[in-house]
Amino acid sequence: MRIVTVRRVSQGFFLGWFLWFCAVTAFGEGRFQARGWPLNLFLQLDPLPALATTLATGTLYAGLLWALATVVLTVVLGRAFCGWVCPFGTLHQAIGWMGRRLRRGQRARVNQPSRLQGIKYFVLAAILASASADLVRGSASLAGHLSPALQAVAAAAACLIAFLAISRLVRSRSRAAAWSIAMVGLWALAGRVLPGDEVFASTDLVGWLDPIAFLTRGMGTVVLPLLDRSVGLFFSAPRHVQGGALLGILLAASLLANLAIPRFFCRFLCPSGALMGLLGRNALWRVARTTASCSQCAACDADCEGACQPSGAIRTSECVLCMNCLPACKETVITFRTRPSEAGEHPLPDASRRGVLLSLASGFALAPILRLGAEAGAATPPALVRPPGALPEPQFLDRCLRCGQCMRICPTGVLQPAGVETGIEALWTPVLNNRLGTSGCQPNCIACGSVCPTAAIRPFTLDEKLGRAGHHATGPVKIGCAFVDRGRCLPWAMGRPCIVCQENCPVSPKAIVLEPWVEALREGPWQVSGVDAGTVRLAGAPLRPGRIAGGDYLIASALMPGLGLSLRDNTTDSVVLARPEDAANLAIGTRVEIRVRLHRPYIDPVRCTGCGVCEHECPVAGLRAVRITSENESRDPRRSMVRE
Amino acid sequence: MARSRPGSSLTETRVGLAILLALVAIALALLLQQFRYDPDRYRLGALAGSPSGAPDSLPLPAGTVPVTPQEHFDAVTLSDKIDGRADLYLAAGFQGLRCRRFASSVGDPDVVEACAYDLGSPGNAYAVWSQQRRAGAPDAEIGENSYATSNGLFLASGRFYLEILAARGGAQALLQSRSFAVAFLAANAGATTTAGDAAAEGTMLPAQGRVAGTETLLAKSAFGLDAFDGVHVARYLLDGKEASAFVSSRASPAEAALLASALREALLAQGAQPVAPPAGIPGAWAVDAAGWIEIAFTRGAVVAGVHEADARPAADALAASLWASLQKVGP
Amino acid sequence: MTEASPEVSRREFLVRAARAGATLAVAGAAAVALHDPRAPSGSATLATSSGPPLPDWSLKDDGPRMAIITGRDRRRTLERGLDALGGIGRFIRPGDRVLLKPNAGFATPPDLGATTHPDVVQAMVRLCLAAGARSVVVTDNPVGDPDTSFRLSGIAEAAEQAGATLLFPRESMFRAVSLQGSALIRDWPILAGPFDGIDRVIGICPVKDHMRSGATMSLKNWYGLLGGRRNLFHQRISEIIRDLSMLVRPTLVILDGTTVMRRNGPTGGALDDLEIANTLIASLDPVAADAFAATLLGRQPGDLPWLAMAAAAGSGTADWESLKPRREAVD
Repeated sequence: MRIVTVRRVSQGFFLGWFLWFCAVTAFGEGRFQARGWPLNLFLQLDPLPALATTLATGTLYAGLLWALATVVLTVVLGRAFCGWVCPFGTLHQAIGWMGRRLRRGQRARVNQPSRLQGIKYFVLAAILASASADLVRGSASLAGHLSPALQAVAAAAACLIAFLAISRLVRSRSRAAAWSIAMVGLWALAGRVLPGDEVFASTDLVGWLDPIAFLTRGMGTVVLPLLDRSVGLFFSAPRHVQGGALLGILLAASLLANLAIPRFFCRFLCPSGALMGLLGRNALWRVARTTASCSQCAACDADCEGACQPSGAIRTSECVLCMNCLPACKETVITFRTRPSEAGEHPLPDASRRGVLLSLASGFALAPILRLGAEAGAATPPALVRPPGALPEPQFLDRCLRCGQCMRICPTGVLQPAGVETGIEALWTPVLNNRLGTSGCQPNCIACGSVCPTAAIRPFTLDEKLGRAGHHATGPVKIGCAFVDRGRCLPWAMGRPCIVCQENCPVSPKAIVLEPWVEALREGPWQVSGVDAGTVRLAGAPLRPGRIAGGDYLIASALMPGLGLSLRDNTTDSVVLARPEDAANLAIGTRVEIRVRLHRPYIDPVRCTGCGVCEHECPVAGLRAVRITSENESRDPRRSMVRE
Repeated sequence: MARSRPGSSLTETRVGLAILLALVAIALALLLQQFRYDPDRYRLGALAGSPSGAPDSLPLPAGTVPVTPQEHFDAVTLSDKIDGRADLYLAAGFQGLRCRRFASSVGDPDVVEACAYDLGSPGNAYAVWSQQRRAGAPDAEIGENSYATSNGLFLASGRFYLEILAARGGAQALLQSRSFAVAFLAANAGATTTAGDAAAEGTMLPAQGRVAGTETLLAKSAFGLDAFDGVHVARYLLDGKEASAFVSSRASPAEAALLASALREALLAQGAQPVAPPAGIPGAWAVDAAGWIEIAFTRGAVVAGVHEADARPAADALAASLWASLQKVGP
Repeated sequence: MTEASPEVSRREFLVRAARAGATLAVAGAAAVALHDPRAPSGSATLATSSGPPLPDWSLKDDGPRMAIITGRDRRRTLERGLDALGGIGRFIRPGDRVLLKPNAGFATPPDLGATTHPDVVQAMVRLCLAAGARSVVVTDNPVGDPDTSFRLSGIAEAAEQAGATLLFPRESMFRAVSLQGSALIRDWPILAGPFDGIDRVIGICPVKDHMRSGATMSLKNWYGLLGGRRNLFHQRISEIIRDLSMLVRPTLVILDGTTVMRRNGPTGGALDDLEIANTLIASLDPVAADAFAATLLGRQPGDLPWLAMAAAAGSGTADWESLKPRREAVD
């Protein structure tokens, strides 16, 4: 049995499972639904989300511990995950294979290592730096809490440690001393100058480019919604995706790029692969050449997936252990063994130190730049309505992988990937869009919190969501508050009866209350010009026939007590009384108006949970007349409008 | 294809088999994992336990707030609430009274008081409602038996009689009264499905000449006769003369005949004089009670007649049309 | 062929294995140490320190507690007021770090009386420094733009000329605090940074009408320490003033009633809104000071519910006469 065959089986195996998990990430416990499947297994195995969220939050949440298995695998063997497990890598490899050149020389050329493969290490550095800003600030400002004497002692100790570390790298002792003092001084300065506000903070941007998050998001927001159009297996109703075009284009581009260069994403962009390239630096086994020289036929390079140049001094950090070079070698000088290659090795990636430093600095600067608009603070976009259970915004952004699992499993599809209009930092994080989906946030559903791999949406119970059984004090979870736009609401602005928002409000007692109201049609008044067996003829503006049928309309004169006489129907110039005998109350020549019975909606901000069912149902189809915005969300008490 | 390599294919095969075995193990673990889950995670939970009104609390219309807590009265305490009229309700099988005051939640100070009398049966409720009906009050169009006044709504629905009165009778308060009535009917749908039955017997009363809104059900002791219950009465205006017609279904023809003669005896005992019975109605009798003509007859188990007619021709005409009406109804 | 000798390659492998082992050990230890099987808690409740958010700066000696001085010259009435209470030395010891909290709430000129008059701020700073204070900090979180408000109100110039340090609020100076016994100051940012290391706190404020709370004087002056979207608290103005009286226990408060804003408070905007009262109050008891100052606005302490609430919270007494205030006049 050839190892390449085993690798292909393994790739197919894991891709199959990944696709299966994507397919069954569906609300419910049926055969093709979530049940107990480990839906986040691949997200949890990926070491980068685990590392980034740990840096950002200081904790390694629950299932992310699985990443340790991949770390062990990688430290012992190198990037086996990339070549054997990663479903995105498998897709790239498959598409690259389809687009492969026919001539071996061409293939070998395409697979030569490129300096651009260093980009992914810059991406990694920027991601990890932006995630660790809180950590850096926290440790840099530690000294500030000490007394001056202790600060001096701490500085001296730090200088000593730095000197010991640096003196191993720098030959000259004086230079090492200078470096160590400069570094500690810089560190102390950082503790002084790093701003103590919310702008300089960590943010977890790993989800934008992490391969598993990328593919999971692509499956949930692009592939499955499209497939579902024809097979109808994955969602209960056709699913629409806010900003789906961009997501689709990016997914397609990432896959089609393999036609130009195989494993394009893996080689140039994948920050997780970069991390594993570093972790595998001391791998015990590696692909190696058994001889110092060979015929340089480049057959091995022609099929190399990682562009690690097995024909020469192999770049171990780029090797994805595809093992194609083993059978390709006619001279059988390539093998997998514990000893390093006789042709030499490049154990470190081809990424310049200056570039990495620049990337780290850019990463630190990223969150402050992204937060200049204070979208996670004073200027939270009103449309940024987070799912129930979402952590307060800064902590949420420390965790969210933008993997889209919450959106995928949301039974109504109201959870949608945020676009850039709610801040670039929030791109592809979950927000509620009550116009898409089949309804608002269902009051008796806790799926998003249950599925979230990082607890950006923390797991919550139904009792907690509804504020019952021991959660009375905190009350129901509020994700926002409904507001009535009186200029657009039918009964408020247009004299048309409508109670849709109130009747659909799922909160008990209802958070929308209706105030009865009666007003006269603006076409009026009219004058009674004839009364005949319950039909009252009117002189005045013509009425559209049937306009006032339906029981909501009354005819009344100024002198009549009560609301007026109920109407049943009308023609252009007459109305029909619901009770013919009422005609006795209308003398010819009486000035009358036609009144409509309305109910005007009001929101009770204490009861409203922001579920959005009212907004979804509102008959004003475009910009709804009742809309949810994120004010009053219970995850951040400072954004409450009412102080109870 | 076989290819010889140092270190070679035996190791490779072993490693490959070991990896494949590991994959099989992973697959088994995953398959087993799917059975272990918390069923509450991915299914819609029960909403029960969310706060809701006690089963016997009166509804609060949308847009209103309660002004006082709900009050309850039983047969003993009823007169605390309605001193003068308590006997009417008690006679009609009164079971209980619930009252609630509410007012608009946004400003309007007009307080509405809603009272729901439980009278045990639709007949009793209809009787109470019909006996207190104000002549000429328009139909409120809520259920089958309702009327409205300038500040109130009055309904008989199922075994309930509802009185909803707004203190000032403003438009908003009247709308809230309606909302209450509709909500009450919705909440008591089971108890109100027989709303029309009580009045159904009354349809035996002829329509011609009937003064609208005067149909009344006398639940007990009609015309001073203890045994005479469940009597539908309506007032008529015939050629400028007033008269009432009554009709009541009894358990058997014998009981009907007995009641008819008991009524005659009672009238004669009060000093009425027998006069010639109306023509064309078998078994009918007529008396003149101090200028008012009283007529009664039976048809099957139904006893019917004319009460307090101003003049003989009107009495005869009404009796004839009542008889004709009874012919249409049944055998 | 320059193949490495077996020993060299074995040593290389051992070194590599040791490094890999170390990597795994570090990664594994960190992962296990930082592993958090439970999710973080839901809402942004951060500060739940058990102690009071700010120290208690009030004086507990037996000296006189309140002085009411009439006169037109703010500097002289202030000096006389402090003398009446036992002299500045009772409040400021050499080396003290003093914080003055004026009302710099609005970007309006001093003549309009919406902010603390610069003369009284300047006089107070000079007195503190003359009494040996090491430093005097003047700070407030104005409603309007801080820089403009401090400049236009004249407070900035007056304080700086006298040698005080102006501290404009910055985000890093705010700390989220929870005040025990307060339903409103829960996890709420207050301007706490300037109070770090402060030995004496003196509130200096004008006497003004206030639409929502009736009057704004020495207690409402602490509203300027609140950060965040504090206008939320206008929904429950009396409670927040009571809570502020619990949050800050000052050494001394100065109420400058030389002119008082009788109408259209707290911003006023016209000289017509002001009246000359020629009174300055220096008090160790802010509740008593406000209770008396209310009379300058033509109000009785009973008109201002927060006075009784603050008194009940232990912040002072609304019965100012019980303190037997020293009354003196400066001509």
